[in-house]
Amino acid sequence: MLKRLAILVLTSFFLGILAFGCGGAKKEGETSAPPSQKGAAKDTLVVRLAGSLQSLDPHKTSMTYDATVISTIFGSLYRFKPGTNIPEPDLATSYEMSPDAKVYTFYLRKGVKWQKGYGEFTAEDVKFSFERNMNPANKTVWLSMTRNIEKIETPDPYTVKFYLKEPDSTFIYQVSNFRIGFIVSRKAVEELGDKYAMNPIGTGPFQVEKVEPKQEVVLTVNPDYYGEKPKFKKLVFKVIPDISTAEVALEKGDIDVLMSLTDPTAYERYKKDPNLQIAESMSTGVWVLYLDNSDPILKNLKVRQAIAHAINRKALLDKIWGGMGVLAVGPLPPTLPGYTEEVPKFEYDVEKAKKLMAEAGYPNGFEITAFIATGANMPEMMTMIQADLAKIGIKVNIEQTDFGSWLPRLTQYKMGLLPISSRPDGNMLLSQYFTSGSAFNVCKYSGIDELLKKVRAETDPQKQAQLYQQIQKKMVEDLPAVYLFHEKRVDVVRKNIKGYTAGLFWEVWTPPIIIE
Amino acid sequence: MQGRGLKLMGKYVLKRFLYLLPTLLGILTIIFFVMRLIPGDPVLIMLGPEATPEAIAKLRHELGYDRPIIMQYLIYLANVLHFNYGTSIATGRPVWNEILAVFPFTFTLALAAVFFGVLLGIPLGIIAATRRGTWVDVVTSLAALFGISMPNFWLGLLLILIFSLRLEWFPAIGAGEPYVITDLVKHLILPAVTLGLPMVAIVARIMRSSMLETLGENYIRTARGKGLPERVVIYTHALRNALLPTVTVVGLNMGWMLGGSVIVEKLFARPGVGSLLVDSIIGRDYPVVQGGVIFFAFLFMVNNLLVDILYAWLDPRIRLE
Repeated sequence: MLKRLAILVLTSFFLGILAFGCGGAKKEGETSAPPSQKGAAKDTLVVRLAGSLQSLDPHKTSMTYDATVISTIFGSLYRFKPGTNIPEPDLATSYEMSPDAKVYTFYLRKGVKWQKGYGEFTAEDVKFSFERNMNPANKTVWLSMTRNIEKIETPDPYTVKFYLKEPDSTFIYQVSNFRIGFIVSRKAVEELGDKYAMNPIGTGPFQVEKVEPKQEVVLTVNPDYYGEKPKFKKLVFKVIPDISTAEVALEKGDIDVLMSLTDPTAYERYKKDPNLQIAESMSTGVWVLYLDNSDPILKNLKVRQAIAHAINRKALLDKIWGGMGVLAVGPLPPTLPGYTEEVPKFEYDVEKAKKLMAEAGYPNGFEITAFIATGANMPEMMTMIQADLAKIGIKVNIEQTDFGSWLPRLTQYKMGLLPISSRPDGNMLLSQYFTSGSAFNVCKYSGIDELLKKVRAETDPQKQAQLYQQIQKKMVEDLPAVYLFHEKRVDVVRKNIKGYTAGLFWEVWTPPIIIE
Repeated sequence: MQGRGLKLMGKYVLKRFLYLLPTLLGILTIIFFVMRLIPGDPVLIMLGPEATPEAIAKLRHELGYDRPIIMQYLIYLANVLHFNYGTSIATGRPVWNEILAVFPFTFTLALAAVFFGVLLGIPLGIIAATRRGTWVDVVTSLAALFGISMPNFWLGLLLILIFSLRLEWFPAIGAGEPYVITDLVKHLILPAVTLGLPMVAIVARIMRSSMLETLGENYIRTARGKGLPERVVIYTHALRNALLPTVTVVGLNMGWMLGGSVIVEKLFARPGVGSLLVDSIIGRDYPVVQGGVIFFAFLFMVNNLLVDILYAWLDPRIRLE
């Protein structure tokens, strides 16, 4: 009797599951399925976000997840041609730079409308956006990037003039669609205040329809967009923190785009998958092992050189990153001007490393603590480096912590891994971590301060490239850090998405994507 | 329970609530100071690596984090007494709103997991007890061991692979369309099974042992001696008493699950209290961590109180003191 009851209970339970299951399966063909569930509907592109949204206000967040969504909603004076770091006109149609590189005049596009009826885009909005960042009271995150701006003038509604304190020929990169360049609507910010963060108004190709910060953002095409309009109707960003779940979703077709794949085994698998395609772009960033140049042992150039020779960077790249990258010869990647290979080389040579250590006066090595965050393959990399350095007598103790605690403590340690993410140009790439003015000068290095100043003052691109070459050479000769490799950015996309380009930074949409 | 019993219970409940307050205060104090002892600066995390020292100092001053820590504590205490839990450093929204936004998801998941655990666990426990020593018993015990031992991350992934990828019966991600009941339930099934399977195991084991104990009692022999059918003996007489320990265990587990399960939430991309707490700890979002922990502690204690009352109601021998 009891057995019959148990069988009844279990059967009804499983029948229940079956009923739901069959009900669910039937829905697949229906067009009434909400786009946030079945993403492969022809008019919707579904992109995975690896973390929940903090804010869609471009000036209030430095999170990469936010930046991805923001790049589809907002425009900037200039923007980078898809997959490159070459600026092309966006909200401005042309610009003039004064011969001393201190005054920039931008001529704005006419007839651009803010989304959702917030009026016309004018020079006032540009002035407002930059002054918003310049004022510490606004608590924007890009305050430091505005330090060189003296004042902004708007002689007429379609002209903006920037007056800089010091010459900066790289200013054009700072008004492009990367971090500080996004222009916000003055009317909307003044009206919505704090609510602007979840109800952003931009001039970009997409506008926000619905935001659930921990789950998804649904965007629709901006009907007033002045550029090439998207050929599909909706753009959905789904928050899927776990990478395995995201991979399942991709294979099922619940999402169309998976950005920044770092798992080499998945990479191999996806290359062979007939339903998927891989889009790659070379990053303009660099992975370094930073070394505190003010430390009594590490200030010795031969010691740093020994460390560089002792690390098997190729093995690092191949084993941990599955070859998804390119070995670095210096801090600048091949994609940026000034890249040159005419620099001293640090090939993997343990004997040479030992010799250098002896010459420096440390034949028996020394002990040091290295600092990393848990994530981005850092623990695996540091373990390999630890083994490499042990061969020349350097005993490395690894300290690791979560990203939150890692960032503020970087400069307290003498050695550590640092992933410098893609930046539009060499100036932005190097000034944050390798100049004496910066709070994050982890190597305590000042060798290129003067050269970078010259770069910013140089208006001739040829001469500038030469200056960058000099910087590259000096940074390899001085070797404040060991330059490991440049990561490849790998996005995995469903086969039926045509025209997808893996952006250099966090942009995910540019024409001519068509969903078939 | 009539008049006097009700009054007694009322006094008991009041007493329990009074004990709650110092406990909450203690928890709040510990969390407050522990969060500030660990390295990591919420202002720096919020403003990012490009922030200037001036911007960091300014924001720190505005948020009041440059005041002496005792002062910060007293101010926070004063606010809490006025039911002001502060605003999230990350989002700027009131902490209370942040918690309430995710709590319904955690609550429904906990409820569903308990429901699944009980629905499957009790019959399995009864079968194992009544078929003690047979292969049914052995298989059930092994299944129970398996259920408790499987890491829930692995189990969840397995369920996703089978039921979501291969069979396409259930969705893998999200909580579902808000306010659409069928969709919400569909998205609930796999996470509920993942969370609930260990519960099935626990419930089955406890049911089995308490059932065996009860079946050995004298009054059961009396019932059988009276000639009652076995069905009546088991359900009317044994089950009621055997259920008591199970109620306690299930009740306590429910309390734990109200704190969210960050692993299941992240795996299935469901919002929940677990993810909220963990993400806030990682981001050093002090107000959310403090508010969240207090909220959970409060719920946990209320839950335990309810379990005790339920137990007293089911077992007339127990007097609430």
